[in-house]
Amino acid sequence: MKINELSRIPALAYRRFGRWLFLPFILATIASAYSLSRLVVSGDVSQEMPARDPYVRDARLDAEHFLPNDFTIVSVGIVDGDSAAALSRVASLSDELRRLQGVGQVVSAATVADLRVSADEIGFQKLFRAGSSEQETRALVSTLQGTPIFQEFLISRDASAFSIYVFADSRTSSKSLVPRIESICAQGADREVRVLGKGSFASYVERTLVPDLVLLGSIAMAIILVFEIALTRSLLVGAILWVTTLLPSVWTLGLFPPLGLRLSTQTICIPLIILALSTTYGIHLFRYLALGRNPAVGTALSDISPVILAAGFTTILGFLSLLGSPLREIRVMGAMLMVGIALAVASSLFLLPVLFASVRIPRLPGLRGASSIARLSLSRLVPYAFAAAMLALLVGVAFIHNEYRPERYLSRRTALARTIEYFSDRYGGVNELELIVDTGRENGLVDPSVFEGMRGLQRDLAGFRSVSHVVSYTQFVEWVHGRLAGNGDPAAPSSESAIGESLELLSYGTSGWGMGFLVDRPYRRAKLVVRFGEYRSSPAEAARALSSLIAGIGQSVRQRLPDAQYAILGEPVVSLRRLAYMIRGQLSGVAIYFFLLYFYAALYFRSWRWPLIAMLPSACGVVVYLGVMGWVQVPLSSVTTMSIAAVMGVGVDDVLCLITFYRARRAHSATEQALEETMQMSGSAIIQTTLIIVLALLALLFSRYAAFVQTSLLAGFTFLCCTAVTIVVVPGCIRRLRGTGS
Amino acid sequence: MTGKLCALAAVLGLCAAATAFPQTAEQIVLRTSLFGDARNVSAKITMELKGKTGARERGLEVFIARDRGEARVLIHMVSPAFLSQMKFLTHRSASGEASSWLRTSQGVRKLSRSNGTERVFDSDFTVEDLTETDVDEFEATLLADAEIDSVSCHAVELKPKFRTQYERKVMYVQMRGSGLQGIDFLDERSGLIRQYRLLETRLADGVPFPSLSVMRDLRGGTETLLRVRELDTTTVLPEKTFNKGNL
Repeated sequence: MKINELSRIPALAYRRFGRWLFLPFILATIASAYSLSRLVVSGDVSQEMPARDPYVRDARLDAEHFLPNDFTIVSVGIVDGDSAAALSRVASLSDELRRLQGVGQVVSAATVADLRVSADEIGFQKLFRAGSSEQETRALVSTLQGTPIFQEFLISRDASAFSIYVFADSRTSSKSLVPRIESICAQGADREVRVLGKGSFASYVERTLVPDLVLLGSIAMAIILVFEIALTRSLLVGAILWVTTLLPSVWTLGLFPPLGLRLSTQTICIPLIILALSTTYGIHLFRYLALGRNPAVGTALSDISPVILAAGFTTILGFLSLLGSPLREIRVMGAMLMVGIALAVASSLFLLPVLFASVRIPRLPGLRGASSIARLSLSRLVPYAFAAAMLALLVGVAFIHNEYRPERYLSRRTALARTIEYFSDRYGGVNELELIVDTGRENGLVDPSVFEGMRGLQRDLAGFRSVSHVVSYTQFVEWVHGRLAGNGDPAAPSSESAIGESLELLSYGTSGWGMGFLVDRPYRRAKLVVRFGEYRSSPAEAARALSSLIAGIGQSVRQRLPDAQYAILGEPVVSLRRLAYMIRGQLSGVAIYFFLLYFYAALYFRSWRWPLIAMLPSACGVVVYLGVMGWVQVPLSSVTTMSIAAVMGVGVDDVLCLITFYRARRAHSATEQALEETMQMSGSAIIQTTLIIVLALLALLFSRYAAFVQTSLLAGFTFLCCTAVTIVVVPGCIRRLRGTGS
Repeated sequence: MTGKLCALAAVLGLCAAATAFPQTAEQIVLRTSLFGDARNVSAKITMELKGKTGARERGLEVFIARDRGEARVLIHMVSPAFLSQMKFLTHRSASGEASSWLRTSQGVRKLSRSNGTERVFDSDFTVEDLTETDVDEFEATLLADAEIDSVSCHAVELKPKFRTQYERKVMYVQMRGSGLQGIDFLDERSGLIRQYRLLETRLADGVPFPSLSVMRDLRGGTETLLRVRELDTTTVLPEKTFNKGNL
């Protein structure tokens, strides 16, 4: 079957089945409504990577040999220098948190023990005793501040708050603990108590995702409804357009539960993107009917179906580019967006005509400024201005940077962003890298030369500008050994026995310090936790600092422990590697897209030159999108990267419409006249569809997630640029291609 | 002859009656411990510490002496070699008071505030687990008999009178032989915290002893296998073995 023959199906179906075409859509809507009740929300940010990536192997080794470094920190602020009151609050909170179901361990000034060693006595003694006198409390604060290991863990970096570490037990995730911890901490109505953990982001997302979807969806729907009523100048026709725009999102979302998909920070944009993009197809049909040349719906459908199908197909092609991604969730998103757009096209070609047939379509004039736009496109400045803009934007592409900090996905006005800022300021950052060093032999960590190497490594890492905190087993061993040696200060042991005994003592009885997240059981591997703070840095600075830190870690390990193997893990590394996969997938996706688009357009136009013109807005869209990203420092993230597919797919819709109408007019008129008629005929639809997409995307400005806000502005601006290229630059190209004569 | 038969019948009757009498919880628990009820125990043990982060083995020599409610335990870590200077000694008096000493390469020191509930090195066993249960320190209640790993057992619930990590423990004592088949340590919500189970038994001098047992920490996801390689319950251990001066 030829491509153009496909476009006859809607008109044939309309004539054959008439209003009964309504029925499958009603059934689909009922099924979706039922399915939506089973929609599962997940706050987990995907950390999935291709199985062949070495990180996956390293992460598996980490999980096999170390306890998860998965804790929630409760920060109890010291108000007006009253350490005693803060300590008392720490004690009561620690007690309450310890009794919380799912909590495995609580580490705080009120729970940990100090190793007290005298000439003939040794023992771990709790630092804090309930009912201590003011003098005792002052002595305790002094001990905390005077012992490096306590100072490092139990007090914030600026000494303005005490810390409580809450570890989940083996059967509980910290994500599920966070809301309960927050609830306990909120009971005292103490504003100086803040909670942040690795599960905080996921917990926050789970609590806010559905309200966000409802809010953003409602705003987008309201914008679309108002716009469509204004556009059609009829409440009823506007409402019909609105319903057929809304339903594809509902149907797509309804497919989530049966396909086992969850609503997450990544998949939430699927219904919103479909909602925004599906507005265009119905408008094409409406404009065609409203111009009054072919009042019969069936006839209009015959004429406009090729344009709608072509526009839908090219948008699907855009999302097809996501299927080449090495990351599964991007492929799933691409597939769902393709399904959503196919449903939107089906809604416009099969459901909308039935509804339009039952109402009177108001007659509207063509585009009023068509001749002005035509004059503008004739200007000789246009090609130069266009080329200069493209050049400038291409330069901007060089300034694009990755964003590895998930906390920066959040809008700064959110409560969680403020909490992250609080912790970042007081604790020297919230990002952590984990360095795993494998000595290659059992009990390798008690070898004095390895121990010395690890100490040197710890010092090297602590010397990096952005690093605020390095945790290593060597600090604990030095602390214990210093105490055992009769000296209060940490001391480096020099024999295997001294190192081994210190490690054994740390695992012994009531020490309160678990070593399982720093040392594996056979004393073969150690983990160093590196906390670094780049919260206030720009994405470019943060990315550079991270790259230099990773390179520095590798260099230091090779120098200090030449025989050891090492791996660098942590969320920042995962984010960077995932972004690299996304970019690689997107680059190959862009190449495949333009290759497929050319062949599709060549078949559609039966020409090898028209496809080149048709590709122009999409190509410009990609350059604008990436160039603006670079110039205004919008970082590459999963959401911003994925939107390139939408830009490519939508950018080509209008130009297909324009060329189709132009070629129809060109058969009877001179180039100039054909262009002016084309502009009058399709110009309104082109501008209106772009405006409605841009306005619908503006709903994302109300999102809690900064990436969505950035994407809405970036994509909106790019769509406007694509339309400008379509109505100003493309006619100029057509003139050059065809000449101005008849 | 008739008299002898009558006497035998009487003895048998008494025995039967004695076994038929319901034992009290205290009687069942009395002198029940991981290493049976021998007064002197010398054992070479391999302790296998398993957890999510791998496994490590420790070779131990354990010496236990019990007498009229008193217990003394000496644990010497013999392997790996770099820990061979570590020894752990505990004296528990009849009144339940405990004193412990630790030897390291830095000398011998008394462990302050020891009450026997600390874990032995990095294992899931505590000193309390290794010594016999002092019934005076607990409120004992006899529960319904239970079957643990197909072995019929008396079940005794013990609520400690001292502060410890658990709220109560249920000891499962074999009906035949009074060996300890298992212990469940429960928290205030009756959630299982730790669990001891006897896995294998061997005979030493005609007396069965646990050759392989396991203590699982269900919260921490760890377990400690105690493999008794050698056991001597006949040799009387000299007093100096448990002298802190000899550590």
